Amino acid sequence: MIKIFLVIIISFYLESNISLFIDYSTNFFNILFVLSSLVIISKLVKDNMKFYLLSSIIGLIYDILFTSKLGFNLLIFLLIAIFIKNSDKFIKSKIIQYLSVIIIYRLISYSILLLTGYLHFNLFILFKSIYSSLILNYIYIMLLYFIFCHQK
Amino acid sequence: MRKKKNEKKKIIILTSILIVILLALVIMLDDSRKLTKPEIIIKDAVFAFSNFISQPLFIIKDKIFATSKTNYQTEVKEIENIGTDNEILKENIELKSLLELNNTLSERKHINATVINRNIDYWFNELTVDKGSSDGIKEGMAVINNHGLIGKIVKVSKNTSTVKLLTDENMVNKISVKIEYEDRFVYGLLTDYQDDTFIINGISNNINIDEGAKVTTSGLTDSFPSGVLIGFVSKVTTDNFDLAKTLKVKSDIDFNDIYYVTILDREAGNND
Repeated sequence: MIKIFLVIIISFYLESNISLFIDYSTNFFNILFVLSSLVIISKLVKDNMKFYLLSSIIGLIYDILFTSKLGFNLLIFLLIAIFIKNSDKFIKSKIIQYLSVIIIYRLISYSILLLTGYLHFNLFILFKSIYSSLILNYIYIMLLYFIFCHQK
Repeated sequence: MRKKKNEKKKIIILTSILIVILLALVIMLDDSRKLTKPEIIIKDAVFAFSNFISQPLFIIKDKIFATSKTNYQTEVKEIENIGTDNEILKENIELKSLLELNNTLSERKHINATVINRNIDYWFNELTVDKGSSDGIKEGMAVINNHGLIGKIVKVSKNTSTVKLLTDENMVNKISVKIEYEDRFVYGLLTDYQDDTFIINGISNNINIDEGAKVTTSGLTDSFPSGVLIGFVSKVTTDNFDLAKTLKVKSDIDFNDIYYVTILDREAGNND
């Protein structure tokens, strides 16, 4: 329980503060630490329903703190949580599994914003959002995995 | 038969749920939606706690950006003067009083704020600053920095505010601007933001606008006062029918690199 709490707090804190230090124009360091933390939390919470509930709550807090768009990330985090818990069945490679979490997050959020008329269709922006998020967040997932899930 | 009926029912229920969720999201994604009390309480509490813990980080940040912070105030004043000098020289005071135009830069109070969070979520071009309703901030106020207009306030809690940047596609097509040419102005609308430049369409082909012409806000809408710098014309092209010009406007602002901002209070009478 303490581990889960720590992962959540650290991810929220870093996502909020590191954004001030990273130059977004580099195009490779888009931060999705809270989303990435779901991968690690899924390994710490064995009960699926508890994990889905926790992911939804994290999504709701994420909305309140960072986007002010209630329900947007709540819904996406829940869908991502379902994906994480079931992806073992069809994705064997851990690297692909972790990267696909980020890719699916971008695809779902972009699709919702298109469907609700918030954004206009632009494939280049979608690709840019995906490739700019992969490196840093993958490193973060591996780092969290090493700290909280690695067993000697 | 029963199985088929059950499947149909399931599909109908799922589709209805999806439609309801999408409708709810349309409402929640509306930028004009005001924050609810629980949202304000949670946001203020978390950012206050985060700021307290982050003091060492902010000290480092201030040291790194020390030059920009000390120069910021002076540069903001210069930007204000670009607008106000022009306004004072060119604005016909008599006409202004007749038209009841009370929307110039010189008539606004300025509130300086520090960026405490950048959003982060790729699609929403937003910043969070450390001033809120307790400092007199309200939704719709214009936000500038030392290089010109950067956006407007869309959400306000007690101690923080969210700034929507001009680069957001929901913002950029609602801004009325004026372009300076031959000691006169022509009015237009920003229509898009692509490759770090703003686009203005539909300027009459008879008007001779040179590259380097200054583009400022027009003051015709409530949100932005007149004379705030947006950028300079970097390219002028004519449409296929030779009827209208399209202007590309380059802003000096690096929208990925904003640390200090100034909020313009539309209700105040004097500068701070």
